[in-house]
Amino acid sequence: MLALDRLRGLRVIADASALDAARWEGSGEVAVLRFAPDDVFAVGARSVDVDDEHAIVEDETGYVGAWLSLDELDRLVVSRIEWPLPIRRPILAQGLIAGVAAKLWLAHDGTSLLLTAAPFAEELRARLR
Amino acid sequence: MTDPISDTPAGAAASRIVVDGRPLVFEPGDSVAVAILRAGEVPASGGTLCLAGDCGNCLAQVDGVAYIRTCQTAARAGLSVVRHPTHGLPPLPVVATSDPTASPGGRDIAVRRRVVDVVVVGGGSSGRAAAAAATASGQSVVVLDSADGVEVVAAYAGPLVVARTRDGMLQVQASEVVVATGAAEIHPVCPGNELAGLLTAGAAAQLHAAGISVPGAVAIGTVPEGVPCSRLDGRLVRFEGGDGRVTAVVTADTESGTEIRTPCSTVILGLGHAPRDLLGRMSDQMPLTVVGAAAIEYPLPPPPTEGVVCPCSGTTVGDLEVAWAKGFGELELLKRASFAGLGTCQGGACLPHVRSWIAARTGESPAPFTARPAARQITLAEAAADTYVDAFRRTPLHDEHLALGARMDRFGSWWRPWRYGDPVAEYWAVREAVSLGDVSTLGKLVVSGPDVVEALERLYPCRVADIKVGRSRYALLLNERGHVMDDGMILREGETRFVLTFTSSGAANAEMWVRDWIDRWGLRVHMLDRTMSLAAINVTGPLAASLLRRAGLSDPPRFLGHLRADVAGVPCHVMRLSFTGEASFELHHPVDRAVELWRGLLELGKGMGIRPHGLEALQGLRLEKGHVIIGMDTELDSTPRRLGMDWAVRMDKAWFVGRTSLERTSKLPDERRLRGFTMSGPAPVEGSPIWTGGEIVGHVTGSWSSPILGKVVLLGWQKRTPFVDRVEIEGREALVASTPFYDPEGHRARA
Amino acid sequence: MLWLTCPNCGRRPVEEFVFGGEVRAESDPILEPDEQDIDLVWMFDNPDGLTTERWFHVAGCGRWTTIRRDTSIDVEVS
Repeated sequence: MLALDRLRGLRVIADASALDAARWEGSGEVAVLRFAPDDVFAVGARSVDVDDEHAIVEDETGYVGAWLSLDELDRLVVSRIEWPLPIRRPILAQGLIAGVAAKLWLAHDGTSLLLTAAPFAEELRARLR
Repeated sequence: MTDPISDTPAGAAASRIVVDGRPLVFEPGDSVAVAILRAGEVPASGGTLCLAGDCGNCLAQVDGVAYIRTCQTAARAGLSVVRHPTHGLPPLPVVATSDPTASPGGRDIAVRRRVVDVVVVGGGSSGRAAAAAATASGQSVVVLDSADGVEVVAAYAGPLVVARTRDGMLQVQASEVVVATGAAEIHPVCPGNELAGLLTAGAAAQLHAAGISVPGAVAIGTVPEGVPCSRLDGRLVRFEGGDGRVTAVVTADTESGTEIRTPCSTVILGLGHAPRDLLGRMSDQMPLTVVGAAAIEYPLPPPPTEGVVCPCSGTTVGDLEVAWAKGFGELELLKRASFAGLGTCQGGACLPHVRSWIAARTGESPAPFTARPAARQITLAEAAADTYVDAFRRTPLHDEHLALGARMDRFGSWWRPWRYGDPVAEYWAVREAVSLGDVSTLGKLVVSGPDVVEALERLYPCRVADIKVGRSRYALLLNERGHVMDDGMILREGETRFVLTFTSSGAANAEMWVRDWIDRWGLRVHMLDRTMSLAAINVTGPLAASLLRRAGLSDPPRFLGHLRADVAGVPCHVMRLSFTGEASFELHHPVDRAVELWRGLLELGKGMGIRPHGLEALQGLRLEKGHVIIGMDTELDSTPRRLGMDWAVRMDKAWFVGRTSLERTSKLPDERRLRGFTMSGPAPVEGSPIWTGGEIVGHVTGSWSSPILGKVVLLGWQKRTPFVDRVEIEGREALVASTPFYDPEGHRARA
Repeated sequence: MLWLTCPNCGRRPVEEFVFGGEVRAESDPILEPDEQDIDLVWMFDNPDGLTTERWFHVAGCGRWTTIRRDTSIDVEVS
């Protein structure tokens, strides 16, 4: 069964232009997932420099995820989405996967991060058998 | 139990199916129906066999699945066939009792998807021609042919064509659909047409080609080439039979009308054709063309005068007459009133006859009725293939609840604990000691920005600007109609930052609502939904503050105050409010720290009588306080006035969503009110009618036998008759009472 | 089946969205209330043809979008 591990990072809601120019710092590599123009989940980020005095900046521990190989992506995800996977890399794809609201971060190197909100973890895990 | 297969010598099993427990030999290429006919038996109780999948006269249970067209099912060694009972329905398969708490199971039926330019249904000559033409013009084409075991079930707008195949369901998205499904043969309608031994001409030809002889056959109409039989002239009048099988056919001379009785054991019927265009009649909202024989307007058969018209539903000509006389004088209505065409073959057998019957009465032949999916019987598993039930969410404390023996149930898209053991003991822990409740499911929205006060003033019917930092206010959320959508708290964290909470079931809606208005107004407000990122534990009871002090919170907030502090080492947003009627502190904290906080508080509370409470106890606690649960006590059109909550609306504000409507409706008399009642005896069931003078004036929305008050307290709707103070519920007297029933001054919540 | 275009996530089946109702040209009934507002909150155009609607991409970015749809064939149009 797929192991979905807790993802840690920063969640920032701010003006889109401020997010475009934001500088992220983390211990390792930071994956900047743009959920919406004003909404970023920076996985692995510990601090951010964002030019918006009203920005909402929160530690985010509410998502779980798993890194998938190309083969796992094909086997677990592709047959369970009704929409076509985007071609461009890297890119964030969001929508229903096996009927659960989930997201896919499709990285440059062919790997991808499958993530969903923690309360859906058990359902998604069970449905991706 | 002996297995009839294993009893046969090795090797022989390879060519046998099992019909009603007995092995039957089949030949390569046989369908199940043909194999049964080869043995001199019939696949079902009777009726004309078309062997082309157009009727429901060969349905049987195959490998445990009922209503299978045996003529479209290839015989395969070991296949188990059980014929449907002659009278009554085939038995439903026995399925193990499903566990409501288990996750939905795996998807047994595979679904494949294809995207093409053109999808052609039917692999006959016109289908092949359409496919070749599309290919020649550079389009991608897929041909779905029942001869390949691909049965098309539905054509939806989109267009999307769904088919069942031997290895699962197939969904084809296309820009254009071509229906080339050919023509079906006309079934006979006359007395005796339910007998066995009747074959269409096509079925007879098929049997002949398979080397199956039909002895004693006579033919009416077009005779299939090469099939030995004697052809009868004249008009078909009736079939006669014995033991369910045809023994004679009666025809009438077309000129004189003289009836002639011909003994026989099989009748072959070449009565003409009708277009097999079911798939072309499912939607007019798509680019779809019907070609070939399926597009031909064949002449209708003569209007039937007697006998079963629709073999699937058992509708007779007499049934059509009864329905017509009642005023169902139109094909679509007649179908619904008489059931003709509502059966498994969707009018494949009866539609030409019913159209002809109507044409004889009105002088005009009606267009065929609209067809509905599924064009082929499919199992529930096939229908459900690749669809998913709504995903129910789990709080981070789910496993903690299970470990404490909680009974979990679904509430507003979440799994929540209903009770851990004795709900009355849980209740007393809240009223007399301290208790924990998992309220992680509450909606939590952070809003921040220069226009945030302006936005909230417009959105909420209460004042927002005067809420001080570190304070909070209870608020209703209204829609434009002035109806209550949700409720929750507005907590101010800074001059331009607030946290809004919503009910567990209403949170998703409320968040969309807030976003929609702020978008439309173009106000500068950032929003972050924290519902699934933050867990929340409600610490409630007279000893709640003491427990929090033990947990390191030296100065808990006073009523309606809130602050950020560590509790048992976990960073929390602590909110002081009350739903239970006792002093309550909601601890909002990151989901990954929830188990640690929950266990820590239970440990620290040992010796204080701590125990968690579930939703059942919470129901009682809130009812004693008369607190309304939006969506449970309220209805879609509940105004604050009807709920007795005008105090939560400030009509002196210039505008807020719903104000215009409230201004209007407040001038009208209120016709219904949600009121509190008390009564003795057991608590009435939720939904029980409320009576006044023999008339139902409302219903109970929540009731609870209050241990502390020694009587039943309940909330219920009451219609103006006028509003009387004495009603009857479950045959007992109930009296209107002011709410809260318990601690009306609210001393305990503020203590 | 109806497919809708989310500006943030791309084309998605309608099951991923929540319907938010017609968008109408009338003035804001909250900020500029007048006598017609009661009609506005109860009566909809519900045309057989082109209409402009709000849809919320609940399974994706969690944001609203405004879409033109031809109700007679149930297809999004640009």
